[in-house]
Amino acid sequence: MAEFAQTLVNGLTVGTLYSLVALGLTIIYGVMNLANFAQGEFAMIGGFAAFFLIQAGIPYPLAVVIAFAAAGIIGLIIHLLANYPLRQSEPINMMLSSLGVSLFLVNLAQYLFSPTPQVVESPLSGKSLNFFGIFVSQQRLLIAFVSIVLCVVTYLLLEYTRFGRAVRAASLDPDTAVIYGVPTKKISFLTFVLGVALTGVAGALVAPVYYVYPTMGISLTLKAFVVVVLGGMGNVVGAIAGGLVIGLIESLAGGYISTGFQDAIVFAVLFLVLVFRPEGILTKVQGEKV
Amino acid sequence: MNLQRLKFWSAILLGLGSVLASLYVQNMYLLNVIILAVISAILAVSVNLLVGYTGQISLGHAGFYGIGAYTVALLTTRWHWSIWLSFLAAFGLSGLMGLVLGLPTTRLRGHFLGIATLGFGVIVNVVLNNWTSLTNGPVGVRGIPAPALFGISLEYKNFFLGFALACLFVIVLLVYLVVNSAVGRAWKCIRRDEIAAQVSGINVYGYKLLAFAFSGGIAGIAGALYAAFMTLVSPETFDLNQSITIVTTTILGGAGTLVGPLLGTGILTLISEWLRNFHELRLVLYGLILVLFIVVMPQGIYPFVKKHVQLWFTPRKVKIQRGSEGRHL
Amino acid sequence: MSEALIAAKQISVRFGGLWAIKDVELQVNSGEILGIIGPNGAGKSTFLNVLSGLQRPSAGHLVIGKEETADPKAWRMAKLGIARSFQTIRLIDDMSVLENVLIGTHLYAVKGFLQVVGRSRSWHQTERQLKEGALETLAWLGVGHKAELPVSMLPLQERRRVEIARALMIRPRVLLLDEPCAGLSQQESLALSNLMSGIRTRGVSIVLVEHNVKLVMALADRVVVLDHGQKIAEGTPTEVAHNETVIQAYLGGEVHA
Ligand SMILES: Nc1ncnc2c1ncn2[C@@H]1O[C@H](COP(=O)(O)OP(=O)(O)OP(=O)(O)O)[C@@H](O)[C@H]1O
Ligand SMILES: [Mg+2]
Repeated sequence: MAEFAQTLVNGLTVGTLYSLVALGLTIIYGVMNLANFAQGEFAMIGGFAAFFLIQAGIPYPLAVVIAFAAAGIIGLIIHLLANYPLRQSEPINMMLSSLGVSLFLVNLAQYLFSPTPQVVESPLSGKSLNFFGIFVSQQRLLIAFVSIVLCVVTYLLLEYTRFGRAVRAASLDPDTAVIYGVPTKKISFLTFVLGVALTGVAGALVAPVYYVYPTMGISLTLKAFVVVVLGGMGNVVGAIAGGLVIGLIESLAGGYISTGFQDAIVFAVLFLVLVFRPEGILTKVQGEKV
Repeated sequence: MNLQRLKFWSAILLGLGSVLASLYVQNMYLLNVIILAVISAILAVSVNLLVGYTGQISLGHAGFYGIGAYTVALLTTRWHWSIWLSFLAAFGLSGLMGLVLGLPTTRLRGHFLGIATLGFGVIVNVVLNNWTSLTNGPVGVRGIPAPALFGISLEYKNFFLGFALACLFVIVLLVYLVVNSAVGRAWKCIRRDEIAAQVSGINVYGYKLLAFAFSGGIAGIAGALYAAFMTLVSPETFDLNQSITIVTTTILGGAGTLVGPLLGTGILTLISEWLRNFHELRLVLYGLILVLFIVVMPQGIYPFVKKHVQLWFTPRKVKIQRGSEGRHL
Repeated sequence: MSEALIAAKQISVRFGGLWAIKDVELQVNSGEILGIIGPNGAGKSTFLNVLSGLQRPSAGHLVIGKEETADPKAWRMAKLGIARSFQTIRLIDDMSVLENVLIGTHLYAVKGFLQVVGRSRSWHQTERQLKEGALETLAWLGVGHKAELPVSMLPLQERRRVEIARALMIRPRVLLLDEPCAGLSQQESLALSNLMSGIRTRGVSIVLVEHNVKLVMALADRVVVLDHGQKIAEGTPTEVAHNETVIQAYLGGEVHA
């Protein structure tokens, strides 16, 4: 029983992390119609930023903030070079371009920082809390806490601010949004930067738990995609809920079936959902006006 | 009409010529690179059926590739099938997997399909890695026998190259014949407008499945060739990166054209070999070049070049006329 | 009364809380031109979508010849001889006119793998015949000389004709036309309505949805009026024009004037 509860708790804490990455992915998808395969690489950037800043003696909380900024700035450059020029062409091209970006970032990191995983020390490293026999490391609690806060803040931002309204308008119907004076170019640029910066924070948060290494973003991207598909592409609340679900499934699969097959199980679940409940997440086929 | 014929027969001659010429290649490095390029070209042609002609993205083609390769590897080493029979089985099994993957996923569109096929690729890779009793896990399968043709062992790499090239040309020819028929028309129509296809009596679902099966089968042949050439297979060859490379090659070269995937493979192979001079920076630059290509010619290299060559040869007057016509409409 | 090609039985279509079509009962007879008129949003296009199998009805079913179906599939309907055009033209812009029209020949093309790959004699023969047929139809519709041009180069009225040509290639018994004259000049509309008579003469029934009431009244044998998804009148053009409900709900004084 305790073991089961432990698995659940682990799953939920990882899940909040997936929610955070998926949140970034889903708002970018919503506004830019871009399936950003380089999303996880920004977690890697955030992780390395945290690593070097802590080595330089900067306190961990500040390092997390700077990781946010660093991911955002690199995101800005990448947006200008690899996304913006393709805004008019077919969506698949921007997706391919993001694959190129991913390849570039991963290998650049390997070149600059070597492929060896690096340990990041946070003030909470090694400490854990005991709730009725369930151990939760404090760093994991921090991950969950910060992720939840950021998800809520982003949700409120989208729901209740001018920027948020513009983002929602741009993702619902970009053509009409332009007519109503929504600066879609600026919005997509801001959305991309915000989306990847959030993922940068995620990277800085997991760094003390999972190490930092150049390829760490790849599996994160895949998980985030599964989450986003489950929750509905472009759906913010769906992304947050989906993250928790995937975290749980993964943790249960790892605990009770096999860690080797973990990824396969996550994707198998995705498959089943797509097969049996396509109406929930499918682009409406019947609804297309003819 | 006659020009078409001329093109067709010169392509056939070119094919035969290069098969013959390949028999005289002696440089081992060159042979290795070209054989792997030919296998990549078959993969690109295969994914082009889906992405280019039918408009269905596949980000899991390494799955079919791997299934083809492992079919040959396991059937020949464990059950001692003859290599040619195992080739057939590779084609059949990968094609069947294409059908199976297509059954649930053809109802999905765009990015959903992308993620679902990607998931397929990941699942195949995980299974190859973890079903140790069958696949030998990460270590892979060794000792796949080299095929022999008309009593000539294809252990000699130049003969293998000839054979691989012949496979490529037969596949391209098949694709050409199918694409230039009612089947190809149906696929192209599905890519552009599924509703128009339906009301024209095209069973959209069925034709998508057909494309999946055909494409899967061809990728399986590529896998079979790979297994026979390397004599060993391991899961790492058939990972997400591979899937992505296959799609990228096709789209970079020009999806939906016959030449595009071949050109894409050629150019990417050259670039990738040239980048070896840069050692650790190789993949960094590769990523950079990829982005550059897509940004500069999003429609693909072949259509880009074709358009510019045509413009080059068009007299100025006609150009202006065409331009104004375009504006008018 | 002549034979019914399509019978719509109590068809309803719901979009969320809106009944786009409610309990519509309707029959298409062989050799007739059936006009469907109604104000914007009356459900005319939705009804054509049901008839062509693109929209699954929420309730009711269709009877086509001997077949009865509550969930029609579009490609099956094409096979049963129901062809259509669209309110917003659905041609493939960067293909040539001929290529577009050839898509409509799909049902009759040779598709067997061995025959295609072996380029058998019957393959060649069929392809040639289909191509000739397509060119003939294009010529008959007055766009034969543009067969090799990309569709995007053609003006609206010619694209409409190309779409009709593609529909005719499936050798339909019923042709559903959704506002074929929208956006055309009076002259062009007249020419197109002459073509429609011609198509009917060739033995194809037509279901014509059209905003141009005068044109419908002149052309149709029978007229059905839809309003808010319901059939409010049915009859010969004269009957409908004098129907009180119709005049109140839709026509106003227009026809009398
Ligand atoms: N896919 C859909 N989803 C939701 N509502 C729809 C859909 N298609 C049509 N509708 C609604 O159903 C009603 C009927 O639409 P329909 O297009 O059939 O009208 P119509 O008579 O063809 O109008 P028009 O003369 O403008 O072409 C309208 O209120 C429309 O907004
Ligand atoms: Mg309409």
